[in-house]
Amino acid sequence: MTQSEAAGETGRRIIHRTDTVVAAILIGGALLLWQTSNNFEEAPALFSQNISADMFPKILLVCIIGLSLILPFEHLFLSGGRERLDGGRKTAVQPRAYMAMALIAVILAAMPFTGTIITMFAISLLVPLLWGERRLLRLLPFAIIFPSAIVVLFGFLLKVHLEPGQYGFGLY
Amino acid sequence: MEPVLAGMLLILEPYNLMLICGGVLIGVLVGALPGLSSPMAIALLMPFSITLPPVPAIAMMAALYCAGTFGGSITAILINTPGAPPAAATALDGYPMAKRGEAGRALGLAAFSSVAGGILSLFIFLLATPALSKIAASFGPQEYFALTLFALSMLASISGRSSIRNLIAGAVGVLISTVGIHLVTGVERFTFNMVDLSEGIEFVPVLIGLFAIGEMLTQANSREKPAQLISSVVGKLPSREDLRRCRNTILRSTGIGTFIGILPAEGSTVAAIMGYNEAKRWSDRPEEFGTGVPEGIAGPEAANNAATGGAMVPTLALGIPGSGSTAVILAALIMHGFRPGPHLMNETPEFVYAIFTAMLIANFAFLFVGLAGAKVFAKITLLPKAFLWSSVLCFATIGAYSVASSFFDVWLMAGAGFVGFLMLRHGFGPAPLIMGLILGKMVEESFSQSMIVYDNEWWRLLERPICVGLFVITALSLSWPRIKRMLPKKQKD
Repeated sequence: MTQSEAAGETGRRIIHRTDTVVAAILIGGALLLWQTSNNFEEAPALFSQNISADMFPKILLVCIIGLSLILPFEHLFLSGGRERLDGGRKTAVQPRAYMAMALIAVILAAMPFTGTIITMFAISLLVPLLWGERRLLRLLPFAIIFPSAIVVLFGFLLKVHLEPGQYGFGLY
Repeated sequence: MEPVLAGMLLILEPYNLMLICGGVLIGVLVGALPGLSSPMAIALLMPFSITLPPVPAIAMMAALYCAGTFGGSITAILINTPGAPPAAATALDGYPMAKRGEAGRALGLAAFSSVAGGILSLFIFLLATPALSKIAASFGPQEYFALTLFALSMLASISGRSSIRNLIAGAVGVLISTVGIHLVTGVERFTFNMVDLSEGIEFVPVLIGLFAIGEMLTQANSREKPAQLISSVVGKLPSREDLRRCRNTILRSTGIGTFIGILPAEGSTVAAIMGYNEAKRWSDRPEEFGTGVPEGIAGPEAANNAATGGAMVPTLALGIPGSGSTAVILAALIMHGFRPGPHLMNETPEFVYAIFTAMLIANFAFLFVGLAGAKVFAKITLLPKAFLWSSVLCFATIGAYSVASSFFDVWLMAGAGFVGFLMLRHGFGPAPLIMGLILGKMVEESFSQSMIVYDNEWWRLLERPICVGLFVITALSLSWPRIKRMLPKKQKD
């Protein structure tokens, strides 16, 4: 092992790579919000009573940045070390999780067009499919009965206004 | 005495009793289903509860909270998969006992210990809530600021992968609560010119997103393990011999659980682990723990259910949640127009006693449900995840939408869910963020008022003895994880 490789190995041992990325994201976000808070409107002295709108958020941002700076080194002083911290992220994110996120994003983004009722039916049909359910004799009755029951419960019994959306339909 | 009776009468109406029973059924079911949790169920129930009168709505949630804590033990005993984290310790002795063919005995012990722990802690709740409210009534904004700071510092010791991450999540939660118009100056903060954000971020969609969608994505990311159900399940009440053997364990664990529950931010999981450890430490045969001894079930079960009564004390008396579930109940109280804290006890004492009665009834109800329905609940837990999670997503979507009939809230829920998934993956729990979000307004309000009173001279907070005391406890609780690690080393040396 060369000297630079050894130094790199020591660095990897001291700094947790994934947590460095997490810390960078947190600090980046905090700095962005700090910048945003600098542009808050100035309140008239009569209202402000010596309190500025950005003071409290800035205290919080300092706390977040300070705590985030510890993250890359946390594994060094945490009992269980890397093992404990990496428990939930040992395996890569499965394609099914990405697909679930995409499905949720698409269905909910389309909600203003399809309306709440069609959204319920779409969720009841597509999520089980995503989960690998292929038995139509189970899937279809569920996809019809379950959202219908929700529509009855919310729409008729709890009187929630179920938005029909631009191309969907409502109850009334 | 009059408010106590008034509170009891409020609950004893048939409609309210029906809702409490509904809460118990949902609670046991949710507790038993691995992946679903009480805070998630309460969060999903919140939008429904808007249409209900406040008393039955909160009573139903409180019943769900009690029953949900017990429900987890059913799957812990029958399939060695704790339905909820507080039941993890129960599985250590519950499952070996069930494997020996004594599933009914294990379930009976779990149900009885839970009920005993729950009821005893409720009487402490009955005594402690008015007393604590009386003390809190004399608090000024300075003391409230110190108290909320203490509550946030307790996030450091809440269960999770790391105290630093809990504190970051808590601070992010408080930061989210600052979005919208600042009450003191009238200035818009972090709204990015979006009208939907000018009134602040609704906590119901965030709660639903973090607890339900975050967990759904986590489940999508994990492989489903086939569970094996222990077939002969008939719950039965513990024998006289078992009761004699577990009597002291139950009493000890109840004390531990109630105390842990009262501490802000600590919850049933910590209580259950401590209950199990203490049961083992006090046992004459500690080497038998893990092989299916009754004390190994009674200890954690009495403790985790006692924590529910304990956790309601700071929630109602101080407006500071004692656990993740009570944080959601606190949010529901605010949503229904209540002012949790000393005002609640002064203005509507009968309401506090109504919650006490609801929890008392819930405890008896789940003894029955737990014993009679264990077999059914155990079978339901084998429900295919495909249908379970699509149902959760349906409820979450319609729930987030129905709070304000707003699509923005639905997107907010989805966003919170995605963030929640990433948070869980990297060791940031959703409960600290929720606590920060709910306590955020109170922290800032009391901080601003204190700064106005002291003309921005923050060090004058140290002139108030209660503040100093609370700051000292805060410092201790923040350094506690470090102190705790150093203690055993010293003993070894």
